[in-house]
Amino acid sequence: MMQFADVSNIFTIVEKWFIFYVCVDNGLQFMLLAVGFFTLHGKRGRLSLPEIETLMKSPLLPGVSVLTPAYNEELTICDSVRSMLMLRHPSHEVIVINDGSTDRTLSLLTEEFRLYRSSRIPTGNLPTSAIHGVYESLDSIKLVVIDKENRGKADALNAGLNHSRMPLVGAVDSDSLLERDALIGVSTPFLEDPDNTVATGGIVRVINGCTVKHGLVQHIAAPKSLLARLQVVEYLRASL
Amino acid sequence: MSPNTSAKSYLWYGTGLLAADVLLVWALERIFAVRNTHSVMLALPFAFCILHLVAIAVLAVAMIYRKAAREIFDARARVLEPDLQSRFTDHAYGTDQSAALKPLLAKDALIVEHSLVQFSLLMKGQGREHLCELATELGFTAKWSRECTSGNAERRRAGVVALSLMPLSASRISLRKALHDRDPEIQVLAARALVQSGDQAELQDIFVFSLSQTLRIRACLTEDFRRHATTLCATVVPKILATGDKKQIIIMFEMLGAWRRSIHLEGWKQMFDGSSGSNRAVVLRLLPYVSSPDEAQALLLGALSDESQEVKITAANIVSHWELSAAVPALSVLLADSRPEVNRAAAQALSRLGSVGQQVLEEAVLGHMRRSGGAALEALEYFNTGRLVGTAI
Repeated sequence: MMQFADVSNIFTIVEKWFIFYVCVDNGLQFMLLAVGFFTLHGKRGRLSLPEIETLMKSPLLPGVSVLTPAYNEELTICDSVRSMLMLRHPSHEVIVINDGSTDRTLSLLTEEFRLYRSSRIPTGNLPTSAIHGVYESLDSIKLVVIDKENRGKADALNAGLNHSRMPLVGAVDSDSLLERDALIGVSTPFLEDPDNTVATGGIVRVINGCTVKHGLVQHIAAPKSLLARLQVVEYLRASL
Repeated sequence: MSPNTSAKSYLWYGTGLLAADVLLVWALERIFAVRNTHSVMLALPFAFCILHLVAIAVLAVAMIYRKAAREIFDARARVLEPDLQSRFTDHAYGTDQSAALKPLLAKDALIVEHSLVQFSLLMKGQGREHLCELATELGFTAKWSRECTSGNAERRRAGVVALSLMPLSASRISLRKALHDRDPEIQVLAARALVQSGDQAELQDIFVFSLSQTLRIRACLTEDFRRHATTLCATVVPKILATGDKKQIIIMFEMLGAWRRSIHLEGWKQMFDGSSGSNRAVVLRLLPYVSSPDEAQALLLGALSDESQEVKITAANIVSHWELSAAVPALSVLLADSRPEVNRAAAQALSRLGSVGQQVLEEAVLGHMRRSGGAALEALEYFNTGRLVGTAI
């Protein structure tokens, strides 16, 4: 039978491991914080405004298709698409994939961007659920909307990939806003080391509390509710 | 710095910091914590907390100090700038102000330097030359040259920007060293400064240098070279063609094509024969800028039946650009190609070849052929709605 001393010993061992684990975990977090502190200063100017302006003029910059799967996003879809159309890039197209929404997502897009049913053909042949129709805008904006049966985000992205016509492809949630130079920023690693670059990404921040006008973040501020503030901290920690 | 080099350096940096952290925690636990805590078990967390609280406090103070120092500098600069600018203006117009500015250097050298750089950016010709002499006299030129070798990227960048305003005789050595900087932006700044200096030898050297650099640097410099297209095509381009180095020549052709202007170039045809499909496509993309439709028609029609998909698509795009109706039969064949990109490019080209081309497309639509019919319908729709097709030469 187990004695009290044995139980106590087990607890002591567990406690020691727990302390060791906390120290290692926090040590690693601290290391990341310190590395970030010293390297952020040099990184700030990685892509300066004049360089962005020069790259904007260059035909050597590869085009980007921005794929945006949307499912019941009537509240944010128009702002989000407008923001993506306004991104600074010499050749980018926005492909919204309406993944069988049951709300007014498609009708709102049709009204807002004067969509018509287009004969655009897919150039890829990835398997997807049935496509009901492909729409493009009558205005001179590079927006494509694919209306399809609901089968999840991966299937929606496949449908978008089949219709994309640019060498680079980016996937963005339809309730997200991108910074104006985001596409040039994420394309840069492909310019620097195309052979060894497969994918790039950016930092996700919470938009609660910020002022958004015409799909652009006008003023950055912390959210008012405590829960949303904690979410901001979590996102920042995840991006460390 | 390439992403791989950068990741490696961060890994070493991080590992070093972690090792130092562990050593310090261990030392603190042995020297301080064990004596001041009653429990041996608590000594380690105690030491850990103390060290990290101190470290975070130091980082926070450093951040606050940096911000405060910047604000103090900006406030002082706002006070001094009007007087400095009037002195720089006088100096640019020939009245020597160096004696009046030297006393300011003891306390506000950074502000004088910063204002001088900003002011020089606005000046040209003799005024700029006078200000450059002033910078040398005040000792800034030597300082900027030193900054070009600093460990801090922002300082190196500032040094290169400032030196780019100076005459080439004073800045050449530092700018040439900066061409091999690990920060691509500094490389671009230095290359641009050398190109804009107007020195023909430097222009040619930088053009050759750019061919061995990343696409990011080439894309940034393409616009600078575009202004010197005629000179480059008469001097360094034929030399590179004569080397026969295919990799370098193809990169050069990509840059020449990105200029999007007519150039005089001989010997480009040799690169088309015996190259891979993607290389032939690059050579073909240059066609509208180096040849006339009459001269290039035979080559173009041959390219439409090339084995490479990329070559076929490029040829179809050029046919569309030149509106070569002689290509209708070849494009009709491509319209039934098994590859969707090819029949799409053929359909787009046919839509721009007048009634004959559009008739072929209408027949394809009415023929209910799934592959060619879809591409033909899309092309007709895009043509009739006047939409951009999204294919560039």
